[in-house]
Amino acid sequence: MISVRALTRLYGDFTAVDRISFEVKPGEVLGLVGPNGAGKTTTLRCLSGIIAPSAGSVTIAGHDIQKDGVAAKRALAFIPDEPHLFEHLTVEEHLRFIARVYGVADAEQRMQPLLDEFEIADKRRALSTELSRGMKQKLAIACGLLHEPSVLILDEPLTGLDPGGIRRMRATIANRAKAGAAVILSSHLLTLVEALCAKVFIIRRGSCVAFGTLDEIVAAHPELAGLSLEDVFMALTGAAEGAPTA
Amino acid sequence: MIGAFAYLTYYSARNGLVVRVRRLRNPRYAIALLLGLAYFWFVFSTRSLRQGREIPSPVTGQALGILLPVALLLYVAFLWIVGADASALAFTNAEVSMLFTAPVSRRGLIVYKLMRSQATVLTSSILWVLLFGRGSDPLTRALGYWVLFSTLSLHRLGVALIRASSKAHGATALRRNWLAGSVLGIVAVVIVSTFFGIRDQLIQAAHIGDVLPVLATAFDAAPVKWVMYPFHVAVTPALTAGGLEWLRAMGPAVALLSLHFVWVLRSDAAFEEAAAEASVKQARRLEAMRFRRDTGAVSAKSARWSLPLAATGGPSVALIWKNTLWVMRSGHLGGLMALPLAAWLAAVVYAGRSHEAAMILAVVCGAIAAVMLVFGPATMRNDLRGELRRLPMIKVLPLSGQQIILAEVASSAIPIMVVQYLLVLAGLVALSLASPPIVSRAMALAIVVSIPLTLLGVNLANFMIHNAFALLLPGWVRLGESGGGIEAMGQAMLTSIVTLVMLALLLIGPALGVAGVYFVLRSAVVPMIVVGGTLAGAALCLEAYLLAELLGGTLERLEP
Repeated sequence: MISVRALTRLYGDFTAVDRISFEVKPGEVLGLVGPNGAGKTTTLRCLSGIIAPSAGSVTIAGHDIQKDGVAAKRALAFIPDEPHLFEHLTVEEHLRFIARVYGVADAEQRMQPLLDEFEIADKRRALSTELSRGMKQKLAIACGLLHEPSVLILDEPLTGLDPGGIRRMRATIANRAKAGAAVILSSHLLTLVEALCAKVFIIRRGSCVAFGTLDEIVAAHPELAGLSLEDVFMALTGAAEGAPTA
Repeated sequence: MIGAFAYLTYYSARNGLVVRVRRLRNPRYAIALLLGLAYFWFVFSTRSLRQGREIPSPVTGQALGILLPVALLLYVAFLWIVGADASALAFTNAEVSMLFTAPVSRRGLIVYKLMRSQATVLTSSILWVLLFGRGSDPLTRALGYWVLFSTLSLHRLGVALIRASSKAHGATALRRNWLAGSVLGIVAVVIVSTFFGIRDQLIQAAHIGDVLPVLATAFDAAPVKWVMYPFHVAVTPALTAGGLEWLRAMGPAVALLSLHFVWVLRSDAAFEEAAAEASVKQARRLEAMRFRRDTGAVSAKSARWSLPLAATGGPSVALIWKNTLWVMRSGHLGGLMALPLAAWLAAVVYAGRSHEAAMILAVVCGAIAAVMLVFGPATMRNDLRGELRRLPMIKVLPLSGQQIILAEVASSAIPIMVVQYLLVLAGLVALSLASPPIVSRAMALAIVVSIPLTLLGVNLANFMIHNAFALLLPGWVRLGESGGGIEAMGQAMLTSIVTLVMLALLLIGPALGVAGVYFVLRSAVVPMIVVGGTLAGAALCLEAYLLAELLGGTLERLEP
């Protein structure tokens, strides 16, 4: 479970994230959406312990990410939009490395299904530098899933994947949630968010614009009734702001 | 097209210089530049003083005349055997995007590459004159070095082209480059047979001074004299003072340079005419070569060798395992092991000859091991300093800051410690093989037993300081992407000075402990070595551990 309370992150005088709060329960998928520069990546980085919040708290699987970072990270997998891999390790060595760090005793049994699931089994002895962008992304996701995290944070996970990969990734996210993982999915692909996420958190200029199921959001904004998530997003984030005025 | 290339080369150099000058407003660059300049001033002023007092140089002109062509031969042999194609043919991303897609022939690209290489060649020529120039006539010296380095640059490019061609076309390419192949074959046969002929004399030489006359005699006889002629031709202008002698030396050297230029362009033309692939494919191939260089030169072949890693156990071991694989795959392992291997070979072959040889070998081994304390951290950056560029990746791991720092520092410290230990062992072997042995068995055993912990402690402390520097003052460790030049050298000097001072401070406690052991056990040397070495090593390990604990919080707070 993920619990975020009044999370704030400042960069000097600039407020990147401003007192946002939400919860993601086990088995739930939360879509984090917002325009470029809205504070999505900063939020996800605070959630995964890469950067510290300026104020507020983040709890991952019952552990405060600041006070008990190691325990929190043990339950967590963060998959960034740009796959960061070690250039000198092969595909299976990445998985072995992760297995040791997270203490996955039955790693050998888990590795093969993951490699099959992401169609990189035939590349298991290839260095990460030999992989295409999409395969690197698949490997990064496989590394994230190896220790079966109870909290999954995905930042634009479909970048670089082929249509088949996108379909399988959707299924993977849904399956992990069904297995009890709390998932946060940040993506600009609103159709994907609409299809996968029970709840949506719309962020703009670091602040929460809307949070809840699509029905709850529409209930709070009756003028948006009958619109798709994309139209709701456009309306709430002021996408028309940039349009020329008379 | 030449005009466009000249424009690109000129403005790239000019803008690079402007950036360097502008950043001097930042104190760290200004201080680094001042330090670098002070170093150069110190080197040149002391050299001038030395020349003024007419202190003879330990390396005579005659020795240089023998050794430089041999060194050049070895370098050329290295190019042909190992190859340097990745860097010789490398282009930047911008060059690949802009030039490879432009209507530029491959020959045009090579001409551009040669123009760009002139910046390095000219800088190297000036530096070599400043550092190694003898006597007057700096201009003629610089010209001599320019001809030498330009020839080498062309040769390197030529080798790279032939290797690229042979990779792509196999035997067909070899047939196309038959002339270069034949010359190479003849040179190899003559050189190998010459060395084979003088192998006994070289092995029996007790001093380095005995080697030179053997080489001089062997290389002054036909046919090796003919084979070595181009190498002599290339280096002679750089070794000759101005005047008629220099002019006479320049003629053949310039002719050799011209021949290389023609060779490079013609080999390319032959390749281009016969090549079936389109230039786009070639661009991709070159880009792939460049990519491999940028990613730490870890080739796919190197991945055949791995190390086992159990899935359970201390999680920080995974970081050491990962970093050890990098040492194995990046070529550092071979480079590191070459030193102790050579030391062991020399110890076994030469130590029994005389006490003097054994002592020299032991001192050299000890000196190299000591020097590695300074240069080890500069070359082995397989720790937090290398990892900081992917900080987000490391920070999401369920490891405390202290665990990460200890594992990262150990990753660099252990390989250096192993090499130093092997060097110390080689020195001990040399001393033990002398007749009669210079060191007793008991003392040798005491050193063998106690020195690993001492070396581990010293290296952990040393690398911990370097990593602490990177962690606490990241801006002072690197000069950014365009780092280089005098200010980069000054920066490295500043870092070295500060880290050495810090290491000296860390050594005070253990040194006091060792002094105490000396006073208690001075009558029993062997126990004193064992206890003193172990105590010093343990104290340094403890200091490194405590430093890691202090720095752990800093790493946890550090943000990308």
